[in-house]
Amino acid sequence: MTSTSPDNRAGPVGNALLLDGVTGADHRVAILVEETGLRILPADALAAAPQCPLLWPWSKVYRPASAGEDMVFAMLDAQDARLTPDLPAHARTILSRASGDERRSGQQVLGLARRPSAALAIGATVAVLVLALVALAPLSGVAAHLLPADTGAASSDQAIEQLAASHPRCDGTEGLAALDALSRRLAGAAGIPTPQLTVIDWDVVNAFALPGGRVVLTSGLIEASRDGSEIAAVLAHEISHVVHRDPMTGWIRREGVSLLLALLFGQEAAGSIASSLTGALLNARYTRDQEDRADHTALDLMRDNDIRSDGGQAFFERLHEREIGGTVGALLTLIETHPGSADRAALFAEAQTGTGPGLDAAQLAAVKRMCR
Amino acid sequence: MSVPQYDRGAPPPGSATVSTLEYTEGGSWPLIRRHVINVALMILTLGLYRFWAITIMRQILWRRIRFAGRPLEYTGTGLEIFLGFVRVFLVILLPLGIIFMLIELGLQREMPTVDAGTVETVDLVYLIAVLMLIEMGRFLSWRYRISRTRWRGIRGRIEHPVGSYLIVAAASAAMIVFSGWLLKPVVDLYRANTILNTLNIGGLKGSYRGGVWALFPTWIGIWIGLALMAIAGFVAWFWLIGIVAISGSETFFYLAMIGFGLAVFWVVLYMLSIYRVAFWRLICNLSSVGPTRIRFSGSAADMAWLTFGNWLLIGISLGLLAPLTWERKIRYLADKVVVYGMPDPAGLRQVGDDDSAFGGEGLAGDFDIA
Repeated sequence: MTSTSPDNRAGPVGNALLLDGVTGADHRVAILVEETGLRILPADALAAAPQCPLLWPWSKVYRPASAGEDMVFAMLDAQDARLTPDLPAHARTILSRASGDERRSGQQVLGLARRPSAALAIGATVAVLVLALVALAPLSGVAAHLLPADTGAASSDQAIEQLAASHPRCDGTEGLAALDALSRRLAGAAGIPTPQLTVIDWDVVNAFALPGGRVVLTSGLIEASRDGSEIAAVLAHEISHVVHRDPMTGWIRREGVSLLLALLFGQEAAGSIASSLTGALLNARYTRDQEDRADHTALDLMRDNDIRSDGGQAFFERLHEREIGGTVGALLTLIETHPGSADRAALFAEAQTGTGPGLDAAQLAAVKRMCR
Repeated sequence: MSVPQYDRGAPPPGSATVSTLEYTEGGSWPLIRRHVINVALMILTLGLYRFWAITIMRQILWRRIRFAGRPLEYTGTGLEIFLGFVRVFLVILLPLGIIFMLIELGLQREMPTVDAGTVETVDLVYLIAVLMLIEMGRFLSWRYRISRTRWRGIRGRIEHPVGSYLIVAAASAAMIVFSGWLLKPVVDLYRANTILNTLNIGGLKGSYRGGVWALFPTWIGIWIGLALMAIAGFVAWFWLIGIVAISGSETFFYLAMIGFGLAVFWVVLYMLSIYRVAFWRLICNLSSVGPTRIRFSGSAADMAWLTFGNWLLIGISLGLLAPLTWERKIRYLADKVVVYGMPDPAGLRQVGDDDSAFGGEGLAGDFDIA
């Protein structure tokens, strides 16, 4: 059959090659444009007839995505069949009438579109991030509280031993007894067993809690403290972490974040800059929340033990003086694991938790002698 | 060391017809342009767009491959791969992660009483589990790609059940770990045997007639060669340090290290290429699909150059020229693979769609080394 000029009127169009999707045989066919659809007529009466429907309604004719820019057509009721018109002009005629949509095909996946979609990928990304931001922290906290309180104590002790290899323990008995007595009062107010306290000879100003009820103070922090209430505020803060099981929660949450990042980035991209930065941002947000909660709990514990909060205020004000300001400082707050020291100082200033120092002058002197 | 010849690439008896396999050039720039857009979208979606990106690139590349004058068609979708990944993530990776997290917690709790052997056993089981995931990823990847590839409208299918392949994957991983990678060729050929003997393309059954131990002698040679290279590396290192100590010339040290490093790199690459070429020769020469027979005529040298060139392209372009490496691989295969015998298109019958519960490629997006 010879071709006629392509238009939208019913009538003969031309020839095409048809693969019926049932066998691999070529079928030379004539194609006719009708009002209702595309009519397919076998051109060779002696050859085996195509085994697919021979009237393709316009509403079901579509160009499969797999064909790219090629003028190849398929039909929703015979999705394995492929029709390739001989001439581009004929293909354009069919295209002008075809209104089928591959997305309505029977091969939908969970009722969703099959067509490549950046929007879907963006949606899934947002869903994973929302899951990470909203659900992961509370779930980690619940999981940490389901575990026995001493879970992780052994590995914490190992970590402290390793640290002690380069930074020896400070074992002044009087100072240790004073700190233990303060710990006992604070932990008693919280209703938890007294955490195991270690002081190490390290000149950095730091204190941290570890899984299993372990708290570590550095000699640098003790030296930097000018008053017993400053050490009491820091100790109350770390004991609050133990109360909330924050170290174990953090460990579970970091594992969860790793799994979610594997979902987002894939295993092969694990450790990439984008993956690491996302992980750091997510973890920083969580830890800032934990630190904020620990400050509030610490104030409650200090109030229960009649300990002044202005020591904490003074301590955080001195820390604030060391912080980087300006735009760089503002950007750094995104990945900071703690709230800003100025905000923390203000919180302790407003609290007015009591009148006592937590450690009296003799006890403070004993504590300061611990590492000498 | 040379590549075993097997059938030396000679045409199989009674197969005079040669069916061409060719890569039709459509220009590399359209591919690179699309790849750059894909990379941008992947950054925007923190990597999740990769499933759709892979699909688009495969659609383009498949259309450019022609067998006996007709193009291949890739009908897979990004959504299928994405959901397949999520499914495997939820069914396998997440439970596995939680189980090992709990084991680690348990070990931490009992640490003083847990001996080093227990910790090493847990690490070993973890390694086997990861290797099993890699093996499953490879299998699912092959299975999915074949089921979504059509020629003349007819798709292929691997009929081996996914569930029972888990046992194969676990056994393979354990064999590799416990043999110190010595049994790698056995595992490779067992996998190929499993896939090829359950391959169905339009009703034409695949068949692999070789044994699983055929590559063992070749691999032993390479394994020993790699071990000797490691020993030679240590000796050379101390020798160079001695030279520097005597002469005091650090420039000589650095130049010698660069030269030695490049030599080691090339020798290792060449040795591994010997194995890969031997593998492909064996698989091609001893397999058939219906009336078609295949011959592979590649050599270790050209395989090594192909790999080296592709690493170079990826390295200098930070991955942006990856499409060029895909094209190089396909061109190489089209050049080195000869297909004898032509199936009768009218005799090809459509096979059922692969509706496995583990549709998609599972973790292949992560562990795809196939």
